[in-house]
Amino acid sequence: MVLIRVFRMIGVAICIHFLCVRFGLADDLSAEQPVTLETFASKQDFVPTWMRLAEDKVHDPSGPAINELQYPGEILSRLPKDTLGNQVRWVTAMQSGAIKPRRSRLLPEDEIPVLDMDVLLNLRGSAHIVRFPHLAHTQWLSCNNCHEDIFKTKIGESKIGMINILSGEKCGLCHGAVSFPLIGCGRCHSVSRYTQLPYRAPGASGVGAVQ
Amino acid sequence: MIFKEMIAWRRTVLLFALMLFVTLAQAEYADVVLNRRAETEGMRPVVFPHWFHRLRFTCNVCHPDIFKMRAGSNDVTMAEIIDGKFCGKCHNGEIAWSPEHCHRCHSGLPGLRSGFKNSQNPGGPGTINSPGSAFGRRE
Repeated sequence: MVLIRVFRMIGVAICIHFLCVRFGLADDLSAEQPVTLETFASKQDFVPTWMRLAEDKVHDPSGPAINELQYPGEILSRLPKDTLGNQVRWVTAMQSGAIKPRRSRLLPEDEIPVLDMDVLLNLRGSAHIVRFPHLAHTQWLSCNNCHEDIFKTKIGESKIGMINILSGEKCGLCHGAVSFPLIGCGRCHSVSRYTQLPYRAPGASGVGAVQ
Repeated sequence: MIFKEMIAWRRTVLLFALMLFVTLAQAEYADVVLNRRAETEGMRPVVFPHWFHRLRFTCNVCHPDIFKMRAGSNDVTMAEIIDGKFCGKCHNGEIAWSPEHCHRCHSGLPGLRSGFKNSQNPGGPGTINSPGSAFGRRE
């Protein structure tokens, strides 16, 4: 039984690798310096297309309100483009002011704290080191979305692995479901092992490292 | 033994290949279908578009206080929505349009199973990924 599980995990890994190759992301992992988000989008000659709601095999084309619902491409096409997920770079869209989503249901002026601190994970693995930016996450989320339920606040307390993530735990609770999918390997595994540590992302005020 | 392993491996490969091609041909990324009750009670399944709501609100507005961040862990009923819970926190005619516009939400194709469409379901206990879960089952 254990052997079967191991084989299955290897199978999953190989499949993910194939997916990465298909979407041109595998070079992120083998290159000495990883492809950053900025160079990634410009590298791709990619024209996003969005499906009409009546043709998407989820909405009923004969539904009475099908014409009242917004076509995704109408607005998503005006935002910074991406190759994955909704084909929108949500964080860039928000940081550039292209969209201004409300932070609170009732009080528009309600301030939810933003934390600008990077955490480096996977320091002992063979893939590129993961840089977790608190800034991009806290602009969308509040602390209680992740802490203490999904991740412990204390550095090193959360056991995070790709098998966890692929089965929809930890990072995989959102990444793969709502935020950018897991075939974007280089977006998390973004810091080369050749980089001198402690690595400081441009503009980050603090950095933590997890072994 | 080896034969069994081969089958498991092959099944995984097939599953992923299927996922790749099947999911590419479906709804907008992160659309969620809710069909635990809708169809048995005579309505079309509900389609919730994450992209539409993300444009207007950040995640923390709904998660985790109004909706838990796991597919299948929120047992939403129409009565609760009208009472101002779940969707009804906003869809009350004040923040967003009221629940009397039935067909804007109940817009799915009949026969759809609950869960994320065109993206993976967040797994774990109590979700459609776990065996014996009631999510997606018609009761």
